[in-house]
Formats: sequence, C-alpha cells, structure tokens
Amino acid sequence: MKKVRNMGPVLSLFALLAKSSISRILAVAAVMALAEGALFRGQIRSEAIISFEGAINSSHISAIFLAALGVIFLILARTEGLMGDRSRSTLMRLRLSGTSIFLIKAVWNLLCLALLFIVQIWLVIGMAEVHARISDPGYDLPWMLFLAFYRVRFLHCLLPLAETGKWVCNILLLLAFSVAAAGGIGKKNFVTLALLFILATCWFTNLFGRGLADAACCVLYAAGIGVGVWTMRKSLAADQ
Amino acid sequence: MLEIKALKKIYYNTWGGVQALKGVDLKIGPGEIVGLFGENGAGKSTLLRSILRLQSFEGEILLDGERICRKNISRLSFATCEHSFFANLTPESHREFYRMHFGCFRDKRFEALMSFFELPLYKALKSFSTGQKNQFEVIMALCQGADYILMDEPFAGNDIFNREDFYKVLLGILEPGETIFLSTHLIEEVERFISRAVLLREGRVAGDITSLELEEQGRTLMDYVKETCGYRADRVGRALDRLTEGEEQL
Repeated sequence: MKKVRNMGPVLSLFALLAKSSISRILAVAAVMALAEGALFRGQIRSEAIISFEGAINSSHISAIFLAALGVIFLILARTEGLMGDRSRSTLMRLRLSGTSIFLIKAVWNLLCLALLFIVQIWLVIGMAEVHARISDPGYDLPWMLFLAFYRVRFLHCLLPLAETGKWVCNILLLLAFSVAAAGGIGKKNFVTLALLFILATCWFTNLFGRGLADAACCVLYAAGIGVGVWTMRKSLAADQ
Repeated sequence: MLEIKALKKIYYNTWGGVQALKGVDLKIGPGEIVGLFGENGAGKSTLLRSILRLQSFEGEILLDGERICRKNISRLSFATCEHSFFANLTPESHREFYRMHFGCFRDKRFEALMSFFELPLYKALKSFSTGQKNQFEVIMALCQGADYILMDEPFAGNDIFNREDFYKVLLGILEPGETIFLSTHLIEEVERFISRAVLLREGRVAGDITSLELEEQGRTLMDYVKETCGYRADRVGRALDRLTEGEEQL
C-alpha cells in the first residue's frame, strides 16, 4: 500500500505528460492509418494482379510511417522541451529528482513510439487481410504475412521475427529516440534528434542501396542514448 | 527564516562575464510581506531564481538553517510573469497535479480564488488571456501551501482594477506564517500592501526599510526609492532644455 502511495507523484507526472501530448500522438497515428489505407487501396485497385509485397512496396507505406515517426518524435521533444523550459521552476519544486523526471519522460516516449510501431504492424496485418480477400480468398494469410515480414525490408525492420540482431537494433532505436526526446528540442539537442532520425530512415528504407549493418546501427543508436544521458547529467549538474 | 548570505552570481558569455549579484545579504522572517525593488538589471529576478535553485550561484541560501534542496524546496512557491504552469493543461488538472506533489495544497483557497477571478476550471491554460494567465500563476503560488511565496513581476499585463483586487484578496487570505517576497516595478501600488521594502542596485542591497520606519520618517516609498537609487529629477528637464535650445536656434 505504501509503495502504491509512493508511486503517486510518479504516476501524476506520467499523467501530466500523457495529457500534454496523447491527443496529438493519437491524431498522428490516425492520419498515418488513413493515409496508408488510402494509398494501399489505390494500389490494389489500380492493378489487376499485384502481390501483397508489391502493393506494400509501391504504396510507399514506409515513407508515411517514417513521417509519422518524425512528427511524433518532434511532438514529444517539443512538449517535453517546453515543459522543461517554461515549467522548470515548477518541476524543480517537486519531490522527484531530476533523474526521475528524465526517466519518466523517457518511459512515456518509449510507450508512445512503441504504440506507433504496434499500430503500424496491425495496419499491415489488416492490409494483408484486405488484400487476401480481394485477390485470392483462399490464400493462406499467416503464410503470406510471414513471407512479407521476411522479404520486405521495411516490414522486416518493423518486426524482425527471429532475427535477434534486428530486435536489439529496434530496441536501441526506441530507447535512443526516447532518451533524445526527453532532453527537449534545444539547439544542441536538435542535432542529435536530426541525426537519429536520418539513421532510422536509412535503417528502414535501405536508402543507400545496401542496408546499414545491424552492428553499425546498434553502435550508433547506443551512442545516441549515451549522448542523451550525458546531456541530461550535464544539465542536472548545472542545476545543482 | 530565509537567509541569504554573500550571494554572488556571474553570467558568463563569450566576451567575459557580467556580475548580476555582488554579495547580497538578506534575512526574511516568517509572515513578512517584502517588496523587492530596483531598476531593470539590478538583479531582482536573478536573486529570486537563485533562491529557487534555478541557477548556480556563489554564497549561501538557507531556509530555517538548512540549505535549500529537494527536501525543503516545496516550502517555496513561485509566480512569474513568464508563467511556470503547464499551458496544455486545465486548472483542474493543475489542482490534481499539485495535490499529488504538495501535501499542503490549499484546496479551499484554490476554489475561492478561482471563483473570485471567474477563471474556468476545464479550459486549457493556453487559451487564457494574459491577465487570466497571470491570475492563475499567482493563484497556484498561493495555493501550493508554501511558507515562502516568491513573485517576480506577477501582474505584468493585468489592468489596474485587477491588480487592486489582487492586493486586497492577498491581504485577506494570507495566514500569519506565510511570507511574500514580491519583485515589482509598481512601487506606489504595492506601498500599502508590503511591510518591508528591499532595494537592489547594481547587484547589491542598496536599501532595506520597513513600512513603519517609512511612516515614522514621513516619507513615501517612492521618495525612499528615488533617494536611495540617486534618481536625478532634473535630468528630464535638462534634456528637454537641450533639445528645445537647438530648435530655437534654428
């Protein structure tokens, strides 16, 4: 009971973050779903026979997902940046330490970004179902999804199935984005935010012809996390 | 007791440093209503921000003999014209948040002040007018349940009637142990409201006087401020003379 009561301030800060940004994040996710749905529908209607993987590739779903990821990343960084600047004197008077506040922000960001990933995976499953119903009702849906998630790079990065390296990379990506956004959108942090987003774009879209090696990506994301934590510690030290 | 000992603050920039506070010593006891005055750049905001640990400084600031830290900082509240609330949230959400974090939150006072100033409870603060935002900022500082309420130009943007209302309400609701430390330029307006005036000039305490002492000396607070800050009343006259002299020659 005492533990639950001690969690009160943590949960209330969590609720504060949620109230500040959840409506905009859900709106972005909804717009992403609508845009992807419309593009995918356009693709499977325009051509008579097109494979599910082909429809996914030609409807540029990855670009829309990345745009949504970028917008959510900016919303989180801006909301938390404003909170850190304007409401700093209020946050400084709370019983929670600066590190705790930073961690709560990072966890909230992680949940928001994970939500986007989950929405995207569900959308792809929904699209596969629609595609199967239109093109071939007798098609084995789980098999089609399994193949798509293995063959299409974007989908494979989104849900790497049995590839441990890519799972690690994805977790580090989410952590790096969460930590960077928790630091706000100041002049110095903006470079980290931009670099992380460019890195994620390369990772998901095979931008340079050949995908970035998992190990290289992991190292760069880990460096992003390191920079975020270092920036936080520096600003906390300045407050002391 | 809030004790400030040899407080110094230097703002460093590319070309060197600007010393905003040059050794401020001050003691503020419980129940006092202290006005903090001084020209722009005198160090008023720097002093308040240092007390709240919003910036680093040299010297010592003690609250009942203890350094201000996370344990006792909730005994201080702050209202600023820059607004420290969460703009996306409603006053009701703020109440919930403050209740959770500040055990002594004054619910009754919050309700009374919100209804007195006719502020909506369920509207995001970003849609409030500047005057309403200022009112809400001060309301939260008064309702936090803090012993020391610091205010930095809290009424910038409010009309005269509004400010007058606030002073009256403040005097009516404050409890004996509550201390106000108010930085403002509205010297004549707050004269009747404060019990003590502290004057900062070029980063130092240039004057410190109680309302009672002023009354005994038969001086107004404005006279005291002008004398202490070396206000040259003839400066405007001379400047105008110089300007018109040139025109006459033409």
